[in-house]
Amino acid sequence: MPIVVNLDVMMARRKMSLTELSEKIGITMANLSILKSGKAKAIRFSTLEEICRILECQPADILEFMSDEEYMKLMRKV
Amino acid sequence: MNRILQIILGIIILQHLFALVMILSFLPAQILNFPKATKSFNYPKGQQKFESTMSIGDLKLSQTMEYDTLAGKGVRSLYAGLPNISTDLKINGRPYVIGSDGNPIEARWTGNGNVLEVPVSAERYRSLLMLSFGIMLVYLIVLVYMMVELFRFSRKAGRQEFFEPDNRKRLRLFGTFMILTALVRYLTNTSTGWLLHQITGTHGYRHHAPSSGGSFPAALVAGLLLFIIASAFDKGQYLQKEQDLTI
Repeated sequence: MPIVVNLDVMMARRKMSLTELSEKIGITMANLSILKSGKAKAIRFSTLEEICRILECQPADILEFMSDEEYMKLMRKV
Repeated sequence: MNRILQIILGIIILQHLFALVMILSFLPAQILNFPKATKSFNYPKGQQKFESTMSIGDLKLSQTMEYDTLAGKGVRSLYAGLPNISTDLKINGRPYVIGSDGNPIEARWTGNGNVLEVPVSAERYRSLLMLSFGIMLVYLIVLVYMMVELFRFSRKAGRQEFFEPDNRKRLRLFGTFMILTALVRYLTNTSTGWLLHQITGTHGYRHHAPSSGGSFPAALVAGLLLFIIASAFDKGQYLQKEQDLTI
């Protein structure tokens, strides 16, 4: 799916750990890891709202649409 | 509620395990010690007539032991019986069957006149015992396995873990078991005349449908329903995965 979750980038910018974020948002570390690793199938508006509020950012800072080619290139890099 | 179901299932499992142990300890000894001669055995003193019967599904195996006062020894008669059979030949109201040599053999009605019992030789009786032992053993092992799986299923249900691949497989397994059991039951119920001929080697009788027979077995419908529920579990499993991966 060519929608990339840039949660790790925003967390690095805000210098926030996964544990701290999960505690502040109120979701489990396991679920946050699923989201961060891009394995999630969907994200609730409430979760997105909480993430944006804690990380002081816009949804577009966390979610990014890529074309199939760009996505494949990124996957190859990873 | 789930705990009560688990306790009931546990009791049923133990009951079947007990039956399994009983069969394993009792029947092989009976088969191995079964005397080849039918007319000489240690007759229990003080008894004029002694009967022992064993039922495996519809098949009824009976031993009648009587004391022959003229010969001064016990006489054992062995019978194999099946329900829903009527004989072509009746003399003084008593049923007769035709032996393999063409001579009539007196049979008897038991079970309120529902089961026709035909005399069989000791060798045939022994073979039937062995066959019954095998069938009962396999059936009980399968039944115990089914009960254990049902117990596991109820435990998962108690933890609200419904839509899992294991449960879907279990439902299909229960469905298959119910359909097969219903089919075997239906086939044996509708062909008892043929079965009695295969078992005893005699003829001169025919199967007649029981008053409640001929209807489609409810277990077959239940088995098919379980397959439909298993298909619903496929969809449920997909939705569950989607739900689990929605953050």
